[in-house]
Amino acid sequence: MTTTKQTLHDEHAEFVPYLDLIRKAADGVGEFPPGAMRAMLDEIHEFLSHKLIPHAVAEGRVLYPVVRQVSGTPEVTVRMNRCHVELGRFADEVARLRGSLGTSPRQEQELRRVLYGLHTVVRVHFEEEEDLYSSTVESTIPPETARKILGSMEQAARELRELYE
Amino acid sequence: MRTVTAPLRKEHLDLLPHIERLRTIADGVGVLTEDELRREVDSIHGFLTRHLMPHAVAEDRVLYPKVAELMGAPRATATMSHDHVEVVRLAEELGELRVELAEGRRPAEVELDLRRVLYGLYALVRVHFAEEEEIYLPILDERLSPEEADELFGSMELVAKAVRQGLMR
Repeated sequence: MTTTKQTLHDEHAEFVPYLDLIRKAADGVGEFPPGAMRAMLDEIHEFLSHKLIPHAVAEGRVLYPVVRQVSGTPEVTVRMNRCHVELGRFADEVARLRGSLGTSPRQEQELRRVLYGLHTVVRVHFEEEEDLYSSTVESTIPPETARKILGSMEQAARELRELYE
Repeated sequence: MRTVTAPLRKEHLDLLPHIERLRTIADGVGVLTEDELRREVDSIHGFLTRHLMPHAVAEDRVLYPKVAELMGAPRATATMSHDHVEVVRLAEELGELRVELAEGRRPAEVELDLRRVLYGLYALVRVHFAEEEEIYLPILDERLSPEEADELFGSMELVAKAVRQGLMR
């Protein structure tokens, strides 16, 4: 299966509803009933572990080597990989908080800190990655080749998801 | 181990207690009295505009160009500069909320925005500091002589001072 997605921005677009969900959950801490909050955290954790992290690993395997090659510097993607490590930490925190969901002030503060933090870090990471992609890959290699790379990346992400499921 | 970037690591250490205050003030939204919250928001906004932003401008003008030069990759620090743009945007949003609170808007009406901005800044700055220390400062430690490092940090301090005095932005 080949992708119809043209840019990394298109790839990220399918994650945007989950970013909105993370913000909605953060806004709802202390307001939503525990059952509703738990269901939202389940969905957020599912998104992180089955969509975002496989996507991040696939980027590290397929896209970043191309970025390094066209930019001529291996270091250019080190920071983006480091951001991916941070996403893993946030996913662990969401899992931990979901396991001990409570309504004490301390628990509510922690939940807001993690959710708003995650929301900002992911949003900014997407913007930076898209800038990096357009200034390296898009500006140097033909669009058809770039689309193939995105297709291989999607394939890699699918294979990883299947491993997890 | 003595490293040439020790002054910059020390500067981060000095900034960190203030960064922690972003979190404690966010924790206090809905808990602190209205007056306390107004004072805290005033004070942290002052820290962002008078300390953190001049530090960020000095990094953009002096530190990152040097790192990019040593790496031989002009794009290498572009994503770090983008973080600064985002920090400035969030700090400006906090400034607007601060004005609304000063003009008598009830904290309850801006609670969600305050928490989002404060916790967002907290996460962004913490990750940013860690990345800078783990990825970029080791490059300087490896490749700069103590004299070159002193000159670099001297230039950074001049830029930060000019920003603090309103001579540069």
